[in-house]
Amino acid sequence: MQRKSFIRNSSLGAIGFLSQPSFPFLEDPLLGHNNKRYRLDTKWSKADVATNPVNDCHEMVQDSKGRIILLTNEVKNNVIIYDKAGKLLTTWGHEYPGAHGLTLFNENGTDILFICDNSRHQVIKTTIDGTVLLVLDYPKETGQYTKASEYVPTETAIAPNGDIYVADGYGKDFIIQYDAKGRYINHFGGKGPDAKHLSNAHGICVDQRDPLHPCLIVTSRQQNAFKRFTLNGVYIDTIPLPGAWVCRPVIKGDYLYAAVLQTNTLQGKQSGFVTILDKNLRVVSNLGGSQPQYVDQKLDEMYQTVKYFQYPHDVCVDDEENLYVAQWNSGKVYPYKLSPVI
Amino acid sequence: MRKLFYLLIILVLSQNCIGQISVQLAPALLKYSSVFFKDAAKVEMKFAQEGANIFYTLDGQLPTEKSTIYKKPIKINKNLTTLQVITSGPSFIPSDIISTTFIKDGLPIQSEQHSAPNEKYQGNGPLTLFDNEGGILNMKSPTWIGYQQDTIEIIIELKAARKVQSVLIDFLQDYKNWVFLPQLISIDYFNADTQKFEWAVEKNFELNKTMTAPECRPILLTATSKIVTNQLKIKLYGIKNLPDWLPGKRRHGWILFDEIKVY
Repeated sequence: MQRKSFIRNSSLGAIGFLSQPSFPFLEDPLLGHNNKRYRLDTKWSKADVATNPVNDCHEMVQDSKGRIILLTNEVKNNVIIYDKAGKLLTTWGHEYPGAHGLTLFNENGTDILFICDNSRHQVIKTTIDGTVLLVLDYPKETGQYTKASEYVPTETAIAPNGDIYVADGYGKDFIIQYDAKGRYINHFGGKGPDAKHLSNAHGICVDQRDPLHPCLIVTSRQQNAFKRFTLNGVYIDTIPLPGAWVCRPVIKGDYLYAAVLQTNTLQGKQSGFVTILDKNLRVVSNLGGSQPQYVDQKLDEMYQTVKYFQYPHDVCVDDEENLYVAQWNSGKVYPYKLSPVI
Repeated sequence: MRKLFYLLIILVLSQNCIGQISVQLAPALLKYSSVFFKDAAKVEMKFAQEGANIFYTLDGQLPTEKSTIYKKPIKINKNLTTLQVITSGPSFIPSDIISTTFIKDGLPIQSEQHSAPNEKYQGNGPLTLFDNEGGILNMKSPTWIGYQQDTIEIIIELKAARKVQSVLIDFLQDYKNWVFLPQLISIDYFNADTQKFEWAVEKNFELNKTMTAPECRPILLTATSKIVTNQLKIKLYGIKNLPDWLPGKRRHGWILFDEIKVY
């Protein structure tokens, strides 16, 4: 970063934090590096905590109407739907005590949600307003499970053909592939010593940035890495993210965004940040984290530098490139919004 | 009119200065191979936040912006040196202090025997308790040997009879994972005259009343005078009354340690 941009970023920029800018040179703090820098708004949500509380804010997506959908394990309102300005539009859901993973899929022009529930040990497919369409129980067809409690799904990804991939991130770390109707096809990953194995397979997404070679990107959180697999479950390679407990990968345009729950060296100490990778899978920006540095093509260990976040758990990128960050175990705070700075 | 304008500027700036202290820097990243060292430990510190600096002390004083500023890796060669570090920069609250104690090698150890550990925490082979490796907060690190039982016994044999006064044991304390210090550590020495183990020193510990972050706890036990011996028997007694405020009900907590030094 150039000297001039540093002054803008951290010195003068932070002067205006949590206060209204009164002079042109007093601004809210800027987070991030290179061409991915953002201004933080911690007061984005206009929800009333008395009527619409949250517990852990686990994941967020934007639907085709532009609304921002939050999933929380607060059963008073498991799903909270906002507009982009943070106004609460509606809520639904009281039956998801372990609400964790939220994925949106456009099924023949209709928005569909997939919810992973840690406590119910199920994946639930719903309409955008909460009508249940399909429930996937623990995958005994794999031969790897004898009871529901062994299966703790954390995330889903839906392929363009409708195939459903479920990451058992708090269970046995398998990825289980179903067809669009929920019929078992395949499973892969799982715990073990080899590169193809996973450790805390917390997230998954379908990467279609290279249309000729679509693939799956899967989180192996305790290994501080993403791992790529073909859509048939064949291991491709590992993307090391030293020090970073990455949550699910979220792809928008050329970039991959991920919340980093915490760093390796400061576990249990609210040491999270947000990381952004370019289409070459190189980290270009860390929001609240260390400036990414590669030495001999190897990424240096990453860590939190400013305590903007506690335990970020997911990033949603909207149609205007704004980010929304949901946090786990962070004092029941509503999501934050970050607006890009050009 | 001009005075009023300047006053307004000062007022606005001061209000914003109150606002700016709302965000705190995180601690620096410390890089070292082990907290245990034979001759010297090399410590590298990193903090890639523009405008911020790392300040540290090695003399037990709390670090401030007036302490030594970090510029290049430092060497530590004095036993039980505690490195304390903060980060600080304009526009932010300085970080919390992080501290690490570095531990120098002790008298040469010929061998040691210990009660059979839990199969999950077997350590790193026969030298595990004096290989100068460890001090890692992650309880899954293979450097730890661990027990889930009431009484643990370790016998240390020195290479030769020497004057001994202190023993250091490096424990993990991680309440969230039910890892505690022993309730009591008792050390006997082998008396060549009587051909018996005899009491040398002991120390009791009490639990904190609230959850604390995981930390390594190097515990030093020092006898009132030097004793000539070639063998020590260390007995660790686990906590009998586990705290009821921790989540989950368990019969035993864990005791994990990774290194023993004799001075």
